[in-house]
Amino acid sequence: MADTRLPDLAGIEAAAREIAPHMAPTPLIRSEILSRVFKAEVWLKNETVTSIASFKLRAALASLIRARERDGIASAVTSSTGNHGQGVAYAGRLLGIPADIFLPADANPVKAAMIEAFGGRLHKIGEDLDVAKDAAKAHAAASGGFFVDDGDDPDLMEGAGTCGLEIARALDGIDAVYVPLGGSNFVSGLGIAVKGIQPDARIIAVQAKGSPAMVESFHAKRPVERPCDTIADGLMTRIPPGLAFRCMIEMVDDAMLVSDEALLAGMHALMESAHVLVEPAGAAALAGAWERRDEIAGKRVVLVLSGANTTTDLIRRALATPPLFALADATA
Amino acid sequence: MSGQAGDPTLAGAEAALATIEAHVPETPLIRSEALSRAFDADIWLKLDCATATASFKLRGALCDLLRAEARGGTSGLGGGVVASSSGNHGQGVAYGARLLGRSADIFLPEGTNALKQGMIRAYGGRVHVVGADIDYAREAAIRYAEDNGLYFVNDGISLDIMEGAATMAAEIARRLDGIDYLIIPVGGGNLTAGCAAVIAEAQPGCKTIGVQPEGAPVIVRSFLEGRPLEVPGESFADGLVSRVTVPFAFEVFCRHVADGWLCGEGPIKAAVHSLAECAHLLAEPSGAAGLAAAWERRALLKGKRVVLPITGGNSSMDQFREALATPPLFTLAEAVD
Repeated sequence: MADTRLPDLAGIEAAAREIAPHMAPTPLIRSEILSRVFKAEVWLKNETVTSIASFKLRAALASLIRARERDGIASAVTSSTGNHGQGVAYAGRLLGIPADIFLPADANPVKAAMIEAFGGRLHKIGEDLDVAKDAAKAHAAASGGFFVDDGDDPDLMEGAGTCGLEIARALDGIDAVYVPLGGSNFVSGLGIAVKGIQPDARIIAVQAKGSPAMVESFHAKRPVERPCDTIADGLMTRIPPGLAFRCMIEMVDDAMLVSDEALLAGMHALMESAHVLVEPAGAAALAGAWERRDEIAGKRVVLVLSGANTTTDLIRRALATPPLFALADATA
Repeated sequence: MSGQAGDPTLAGAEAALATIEAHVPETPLIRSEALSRAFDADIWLKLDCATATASFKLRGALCDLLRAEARGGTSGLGGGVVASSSGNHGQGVAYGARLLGRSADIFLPEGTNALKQGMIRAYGGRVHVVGADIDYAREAAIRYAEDNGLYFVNDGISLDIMEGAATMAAEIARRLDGIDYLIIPVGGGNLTAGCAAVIAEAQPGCKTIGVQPEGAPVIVRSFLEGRPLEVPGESFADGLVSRVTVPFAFEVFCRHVADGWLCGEGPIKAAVHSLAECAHLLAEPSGAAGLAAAWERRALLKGKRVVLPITGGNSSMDQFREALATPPLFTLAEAVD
């Protein structure tokens, strides 16, 4: 069982060493077009090009490697809207550990299919993520499996934080990092890493208007529950998880909401101007930065592209939505 | 023009890696679960669509420019740099020239993808649209360089460009053993020739296959017939269209490439669609040609370890829409069933 210690920079550095045999650092690329459009230096941290097309593998690997070393686990259990479930399934297979993954009944079909393809045993139950989580916990308790708790596990957070470590080690003088916000595991871990190396860097978390629980909780300084209704399943949380929320309060400088329309417009802009496919959650950082572009002018910012597990239908919808800005305008 | 002496070697590609790696970090090499299931094989994707210029071309351009700069004197960069390109090589050269504080004049054939023209300008390149195809544009570029005392980046003749491009194979070989097939889209043949030479040394059991569209087949057909042909081309995969062979690249290609495959326009579009749906990637049509040809010959690839370089992501949105409107080679559901 994972302890309730607080994650820290040393732990993230250790996690980086632990996961290194299993995954390479991801690209951090200066975007020419986005830099012109924002009149700033805009870098993209591309987490879409991992084996599971999202950053979640980092967290899952760190958690399972450490649990196995600590307790010699026989199986892993978790609940997820998809990317975390893929991460646990894939990490489990890499490490030779069976994985049971619980999803809400209406989960993204692409993600569900991939979890099974990665060797995870799929269980579809409940109307949202939190109901699925209760079922997963019950199953773990009943079967003696290791419950991988997305949001309450310092190992997961330190694994996710390896992304921030790569960013801060590769690029000096960062003014701000914009990060998509789901359960806050990612923003918290990333925040600890970035601020641990560059204390003046600001961390801005971006969530969907249709799933505002973490952002409202952040501003209220206490957990607030909200229902979820957004196309961005990577940004969904109804109930703020304990540990991740505590870290978020400390590590994140600001949190904001963007509309589904802005996410689609951001997807379109990233495809056209940065030549990268992202899922709606993966466009959150750009959508948030776009709203704050007056603040960003003249600065050095990093936008984290968290993943690309999306359907062709959503890609078509994004292409049918006017982009946040047009490539033609930037290259005239 | 830069030197040519013998074929690229593994040592040469490793040296080129040392030259460029500060500017061109290693690109991801990932096993695709969905494609592996669809093919019933071990399918790996080398994601050169994820570089700073969204194609592999930066490797060769930077290797050539950095080495020319280091050589200095009459072989140095003179007043500036010139290149001819269907778009991606031009971006690489413009990017590299700007890095070294030089001007870049890029010659593109008429009808070049507008997105690629825009990107070249964004990197500070001056765009000259001239000539009915890439080889006419190349002639114009060479004349311009000679007339103005500028350095022509000679894609297909320069060993430095070929070894630079072959750093892709060096990276692959460092990460993955026992490769059976390396299946690469072919424009002028520089990348495929260089990678074939290097992988033949690193993993002698690996067969390198060059792929071109049926509508732009000059390199593959020349290879299969054993002599340089002239065949005008046209294709949705705009990065793969040329009319003639280029001497050095063609010689190296013939020495080391195991086979040449052609694929249709429909499968190229379908491959772009499958890469988006099943591998979560935005590939330009040229970058998807390898997958298209491989799918047609999947019986041959069953149970094998195959590396498919995704050579670029500079797709226009119209191209991408057209690809998504084409039924994919296989859906994700079919792949993971």
